[in-house]
Amino acid sequence: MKPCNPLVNIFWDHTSGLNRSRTGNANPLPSCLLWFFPSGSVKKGHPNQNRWMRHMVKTARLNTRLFVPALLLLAVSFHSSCDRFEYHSYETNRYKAPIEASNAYNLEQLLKIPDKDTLRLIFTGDTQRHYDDLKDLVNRINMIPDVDAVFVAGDLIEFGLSNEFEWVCEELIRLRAPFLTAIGNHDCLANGIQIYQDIYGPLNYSFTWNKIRFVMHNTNGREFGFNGTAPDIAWMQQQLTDEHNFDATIFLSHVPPFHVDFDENLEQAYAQVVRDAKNTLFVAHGHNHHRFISQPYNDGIWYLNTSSPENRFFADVKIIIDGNSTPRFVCDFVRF
Amino acid sequence: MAIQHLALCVILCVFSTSCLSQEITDSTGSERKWFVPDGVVMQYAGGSGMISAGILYDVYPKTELAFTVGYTPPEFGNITTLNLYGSYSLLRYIDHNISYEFLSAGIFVQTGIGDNIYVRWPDRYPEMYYWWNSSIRFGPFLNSQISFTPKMHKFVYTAFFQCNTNDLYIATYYHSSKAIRLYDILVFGTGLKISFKG
Repeated sequence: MKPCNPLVNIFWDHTSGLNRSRTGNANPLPSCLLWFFPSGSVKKGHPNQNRWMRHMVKTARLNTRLFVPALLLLAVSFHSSCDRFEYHSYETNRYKAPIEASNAYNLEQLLKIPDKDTLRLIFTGDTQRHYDDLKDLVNRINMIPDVDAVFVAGDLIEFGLSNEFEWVCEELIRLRAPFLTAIGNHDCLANGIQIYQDIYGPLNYSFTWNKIRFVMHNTNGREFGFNGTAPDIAWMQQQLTDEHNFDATIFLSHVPPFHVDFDENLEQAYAQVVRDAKNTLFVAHGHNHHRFISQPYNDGIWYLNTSSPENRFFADVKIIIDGNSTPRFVCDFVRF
Repeated sequence: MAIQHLALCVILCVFSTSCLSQEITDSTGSERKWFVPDGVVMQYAGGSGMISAGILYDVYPKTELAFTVGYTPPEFGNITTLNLYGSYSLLRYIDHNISYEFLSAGIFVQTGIGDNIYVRWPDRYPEMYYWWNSSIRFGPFLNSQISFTPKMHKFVYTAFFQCNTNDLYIATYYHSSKAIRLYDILVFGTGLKISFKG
């Protein structure tokens, strides 16, 4: 009797062992396959080795036991090819956004554009939940030949679902012009802030382009419990200190200061920062979903509210820069 | 981290089977009490967490209730969920000791517990500021499963595949059926059930 590895008994030949010498190999299949192709009435040790084969031929039919490995294979290949095995709707780290979506990349593209005397900027926002309209908007903006940049004033998504970030991002990266985003109150829901930061980058950032200082900031006071950090007044003031580097200023955020969702303790301070900034052209906001441009504080500062794709309007702003006078702007609301 | 998940998985598996064997020794020769579960279930993904585990009740022929607790690790959002699934078997084929349940349909209710997820919106929001509930999800699901009953075992082993969607996905799809596909709002999950014979 030759000693045998027990694993061989289990997987290959369960007849190897004590009774092997007497019976011979009764089963023509390795034992690991016997469950799928049962040997019917063939007894262990039966001398007729062909009986199993005759049994299988006589009872030829769909072997339902083969479904099991087939389904397992199908499941494994499906899982590896499919991205819909979701842990939770608010899952983070789910969408690996392309680098083209990040504000840093778009800024890099924007700053590559040589200086010119007329800038054409598109302002939109509140793309939430109406992604068909967003698709139309992106197609419409791509039809305009001389767009320099697109600004999205927050509320990209509605519920804080990680998939919404993916859907919006997939639409926005179709824009031919660089696009830059500010965060909205809906983007802060559930794990939204983290997902937003992973895709687009920091919540507050500023840059100078064509001698115009853009201050993109977070004004969603209510989401932060009106704790005085949104908007970050000190940060904004700090961005505006080097006045020799720019000729005009544009602010972009989501909630306008005259809205109830703005931190009311900071409203006057915010209006003052905007007033004190060098040649403020306008302050752009979303949140209201309506198109309007007004001077709510009667201080000569224009507050521009971008419409939303849902209302089928966007703001088309031309900025005219000539060396002699300060930059001027023309705002047009375009239906699409 | 992956090793920790695997370890958690194995522990849950061992724990749940040992629970079952405990029960069967306790109730030998007598009818099981109504509150003793008819089985345990372990699930991967499916919107209820990276791993979720729980108990099964066969409340009525073809009707099954599952109560599970799900866990999503911190790198994916650190969310704990409590889930209730109710399903009814629609299409079933039994071949010897294998039962193919091609289709069963049902609904589920889920409560998520985590940072910035609320059953009641905090006081900083006015009444009905957001119209939906950020924690409680519900929706329909479809299951298909294979059960295997080994002759000498006390248990039925089931592997299942689940496909579900929830209220927020449906609300999104309602306005955006051109930009997003139906496939994009489906959530898949898969898992194992071990239940008592009979």
